[in-house]
Amino acid sequence: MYGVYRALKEVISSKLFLMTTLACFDGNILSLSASGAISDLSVIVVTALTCIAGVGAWTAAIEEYVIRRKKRKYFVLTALISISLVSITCYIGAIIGLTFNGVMKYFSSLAVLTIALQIIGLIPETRIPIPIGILAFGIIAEVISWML
Amino acid sequence: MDVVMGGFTSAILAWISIILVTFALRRLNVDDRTFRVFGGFAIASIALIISGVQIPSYTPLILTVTGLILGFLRANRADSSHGNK
Repeated sequence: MYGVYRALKEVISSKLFLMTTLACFDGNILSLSASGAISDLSVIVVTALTCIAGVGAWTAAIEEYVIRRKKRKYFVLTALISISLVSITCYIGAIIGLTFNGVMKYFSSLAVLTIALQIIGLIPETRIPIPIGILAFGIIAEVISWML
Repeated sequence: MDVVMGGFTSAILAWISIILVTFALRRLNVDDRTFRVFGGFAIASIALIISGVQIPSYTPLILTVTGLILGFLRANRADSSHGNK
């Protein structure tokens, strides 16, 4: 039991875990799945190489699992948790996308555009993720449009 | 393809890229700035597709792969010119 706890603690505190799961928490994956865009093959590859992996994740993986060989046993566990989190986020996004079909499309498009600007470096990273804020506004706007 | 299956495939592809770069291509060196700029444009083209603008669906993929190749070439050219000095 202590071994599992220790392994989880080691995985969650690793830089690679942060790099590969950040997209689940800052609204990247959520907005892509809510709009249904992630069902297209080209979008799947772009999301894999820019949102989930990318240069930062590759560098972190080389640092943690090639230079520090002791940590290699946690590599598979990190991958499993990361893949599960992405799939769960996509499931949540799919539910949001199925429920809201009106103005939500434009808000998720705007959220994806801010993600693009953040990747280029034109918008700095904020404490509250901007895409999450835009998606929240989108949900409120959608509910208001239902009421009217 | 289903959205959840798409996310799962995307995560698997991301980890395949990590495994390849980590264990097989340890010497692969990509210029971060070039890759980020092209990746950003790729995501922006996805935003256009979502909002309903008619652009080819493979545009983001082409932009990402171009960024990867140009980033790799730029980083290696910088390394070789640094080595020549």
